Order: sequence, then structure tokens, then C-alpha cells
Amino acid sequence: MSVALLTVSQLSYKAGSKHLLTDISLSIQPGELVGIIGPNGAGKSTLMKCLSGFQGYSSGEVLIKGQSLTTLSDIDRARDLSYLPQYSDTAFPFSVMETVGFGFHVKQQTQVMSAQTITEQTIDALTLVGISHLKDRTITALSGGEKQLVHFSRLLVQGAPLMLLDEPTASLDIGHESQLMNVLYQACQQGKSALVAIHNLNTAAEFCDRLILVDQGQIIAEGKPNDVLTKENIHRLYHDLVMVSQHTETGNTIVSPYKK
Amino acid sequence: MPFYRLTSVQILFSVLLFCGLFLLYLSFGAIHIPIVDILALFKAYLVGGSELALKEQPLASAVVIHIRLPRACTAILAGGALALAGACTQGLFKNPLASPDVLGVSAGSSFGAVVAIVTGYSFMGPIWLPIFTTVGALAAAAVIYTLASRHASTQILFLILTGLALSSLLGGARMGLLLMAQQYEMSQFVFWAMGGLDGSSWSQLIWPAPIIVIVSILLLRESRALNLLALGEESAHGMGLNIKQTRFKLLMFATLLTAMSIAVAGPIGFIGLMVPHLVRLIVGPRHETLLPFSAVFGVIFLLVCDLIGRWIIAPNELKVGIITSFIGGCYFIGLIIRFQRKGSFV
Repeated sequence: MSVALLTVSQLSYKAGSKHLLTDISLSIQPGELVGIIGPNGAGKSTLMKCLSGFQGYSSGEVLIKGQSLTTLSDIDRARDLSYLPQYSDTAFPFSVMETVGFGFHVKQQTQVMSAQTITEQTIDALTLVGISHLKDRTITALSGGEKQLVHFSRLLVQGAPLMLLDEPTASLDIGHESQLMNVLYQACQQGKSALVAIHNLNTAAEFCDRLILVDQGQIIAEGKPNDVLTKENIHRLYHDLVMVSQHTETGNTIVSPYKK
Repeated sequence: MPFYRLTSVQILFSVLLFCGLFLLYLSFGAIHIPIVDILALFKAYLVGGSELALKEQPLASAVVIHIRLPRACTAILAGGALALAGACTQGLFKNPLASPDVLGVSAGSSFGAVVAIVTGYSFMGPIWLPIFTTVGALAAAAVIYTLASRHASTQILFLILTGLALSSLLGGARMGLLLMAQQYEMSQFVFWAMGGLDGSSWSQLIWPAPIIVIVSILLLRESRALNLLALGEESAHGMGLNIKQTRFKLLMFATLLTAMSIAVAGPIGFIGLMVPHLVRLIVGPRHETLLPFSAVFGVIFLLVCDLIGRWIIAPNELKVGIITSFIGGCYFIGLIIRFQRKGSFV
């Protein structure tokens, strides 16, 4: 078995006296698309911040390609691990091309990139995500969902083998949500890996190889989507007003709200 | 305008504007020195040094070399430093309305200057005023930095309120200190507080000039970091930026530039807020172009304001700080109207 891209062992994070993450252990192999699911306030974003190195942790260990996250330089970390936070916003009217182009920062540390190469690769990423028509707009003039897609394109040009995405589909319509997840799925098919915090359980079930169910800072269940999205788990964490069924063609679990 | 590409025309225009203004600045005044004489003076100075310059252009040499050139250099250093400090602060706090004035760094620096004046240190040598302004600015920056470390503090309203509180606090302390001052020190303070370039001398520039030049170069090297920071700290971290180190470095640069400009020219308001804001509308938000153009236009703006101050009630002079405050105040009101119409400051 190849070396895991990400290995997390007994990670805990305490803010004051409150335990936000407790004994989190997981690993991501090359080519895997793993979803982190859980109700609001479960600790998904906190976990993402800790794994990205943006936030420290109280105990445990995070290894990127076998090397401790804390010993990696910022550039070395960003070369192997890219991170899309839940909110990325700016007050300045950068163009979409410029915003995506900032994603080349890591590559530019070790190689000289011509303006033409940057422009071509930026347009390729925008086309892949389906927003090439936005290339001449300024980021401040876009809707929340469009901004999220631009930042996702920036993540793609960074080119790290492991991507951490914190609710990347939160403000997207269903078409763009599917587009983004398909791009991510294709990237993982080609050898990249991704860990995605996601709220939409149906999307998680459709695209992710594995799901990690988190509640109150602890891993409750982990495994194949159909093994994690059981009626017991769903009703326990998402209350009774959620219906769990099976898709007649794919056999995937379908979770939907229903009226009392 | 989605794409901001600097054309050679824009660069050439800026350089020509600066050169023309610089010569006009040296030429204009109570004693008119023709531009031809100024050029001849520089030529003589370069060829044969001060002796030949004095021999060939005695009047121009006395007026330009000892009075107007140090004043012009002070304007160049202070204007450039303040505009750069403003652009840096706006990028650092992701806030187009941030500036050393609004954040209270200028108030801290001014407080340091008043302490130097009241205690008599400013008269003991040219190094003391820069030291006091720097310490004052650093103390104010430390307060801002501590508060800015918290997530919510980057909110525009919170930042402005913190700056207002800090400025008010330091203003009160400054007034309290002046109660203890003697008549002469009091008059020195009033003269200094209006922010002016008159009375500039080479000796005043010995310490601040190299610091401003070095810090400006170091700041220009952080353009890319400022671009990344503008997308938010989490995103910038994801792209490989060391947030803590970069933020500390940038705040130090902005603080030092503010402190040095206050040491050479007193508290000149609004350049830090207005110039980068205006330049961003023209050349775009990328800091690779925003920073150098802010510096150039900060210089041009201060030279123009000082020329207006020297011309408007000639043969008397109006302090340049009064002119910049007036123009800056009008600009600020214009910004508010723009915000009400467009819903955006940028």
C-alpha cells in the first residue's frame, strides 16, 4: 500500500475548557474523495482548519506524506496541501483572472511562469469549472456562488495532490454543485485526493468514496456512504424530520426532509 | 474595468508629471529661479561639485540647494512614505478605508513627537524626533495588532471605532502633556502640529531618509503577499503564506513609514487614505502596481499641495497639512456620496 497523503492520529483541539475535537484519527490515500459530514456545529470546519495548519491543535499528530504538518514550511505544505475555506472574500476589485492567478503563488516559488502560461492555465481551470464566461468580471461584482467557483478554480491551479475543501458547495445551485463535485471527482480519478466537508448528504453519497460522520468533535461513523448513512445515524444526528430511502437505480441512500 | 494593465503611456506620464512638478517646485517662490538656471545648477553640481555650482549660479545655489531642495526631498519622502503606508494598511486589513490616520498609528506617532518637543529632546539632535515618533507609532500599532488578531476586528466599523478611540485617547493625553509645556515649547508644538514642509533642512532628513528608502523597498517586495492577504487570511494560508510573520512585517513597515514621515513633516493627514484609494481606481488593486504608483502619486500630491500652499496667499504661506486636510475631507465626503449611490467604497 502506498504512503497515505494524509494521516491524522488522535487529534484533539480544546478552546478554553471546551473540547471541540476529540481523538480524531483518519487517513486519505491517493485518489480518494472523502466526505466529512455532520450537523451544524459538529466540528467539521474546526477539523478542516486544524488539518490545513491554519489553526493549531492541542494534541495528536497530522502527517502530510509521512511528514509532520508542524515541521513543514508554509510553501512545502501548500505544495502538497491546498485549502479552500468556507468563506473567502475580498474588498478589492481583483479581476477573476487575477484571483485565480494568485493560486500559482506556490509554483512561482520554484519556477518562472510566463504570463501566457498563467493565462492559459487559468482559462483552462475556469473552463473546467464552467465559469470561463466570468473571466473578464471583477470578483467583487459576483454572487456568492460565483465567487466560490472562482476560488475553487484558484484551488485547482495550485495543483496540490491533496485538497481540503470546507463546504465548497454551500452557496451553489444544484447545477453548479454537481459541476464542482464532478470536477473534484475527475481530479481524484486522475490521482489527486480530496477531503470535503459537505452538508448535502445526497451529494456526499453520490460522489464520495468514503464518508466520515462527525458529531460534537468526534468521529461517529466511517466507511462507504451506504454504511454511514444509515437510518439510525441520520435520525440520531439530524432529528426525525428526515427521511432515508434508497435510490431505485443506483442503490444509493437518499436523504430528504419531510413535512410533519 | 476588469483588467488593469499598466501601459508605458501611464508610466511615462507619471514620470514626466513628477519631473515637471519637481522643477516647477524648485523654480516657484518668493525668489523666482528660472528652470534653465536650475538645470544649469544641477549640471554644474554634477561636473564640479558645490564650488562650481556656487560660482556659476550663486543665487540659484543658495535658494535651491539649501532651501527648496531639502523641502522638495522632504515632500518626496513624506508623500511617498504616507501613501505607501496607507496602501499597505488597506491591503493588510482588507479595508479600502484603513490608513495610519484612521487606525490611530499617526496619533501615536504624533504623541511621541509632542513628548519629544515638550521634554526638549527634539532640540538635542536630529535623531531624537524620529525615535520618539517611532516609539509612539509602535505602541499604537501594538494595540491595533492585538485587536486585529481577533477575527471580528477586521470588520470596517470595528477598525474605525478602535482607531477613533485610540486617536481620542492619545489626543487627550497630548493636550494633558501640553498643559505642562512652556510658552516656547507650546509655540513649537502648534507650528509642528499643522504639518508643514517649511523649515525643512538636510539635517532633519539624515536619519529618516535611509529608513524610508529601505522600508519602501522591503514593502514593495511584499506586493504578492498583500495580494494573497487581500483574499482573506485562511485563503492566503492555504496558498502558502506565513500569516503571522507577514502581518507583523507589514504592520511594522506601515508603522515605520508613518513615524518617519511624521518626524520629517509633522502630521499630514489623509494622504494615506486618499492616494492609494484613488490610485486603486486608476491602476487596479494589484499591489505590484498599486504600491509604486501610490508612492509616486503620494509624492506628486504633496508637491502640488505644497505649491498651492505657497501660492494661494503669497507672499505668505499656508501649511501643507491644512491643504491636504481640506482636499482629503472633501474626498472623504465624496466617498460617502459614492457609497450611498453605488453601495461600495471601491
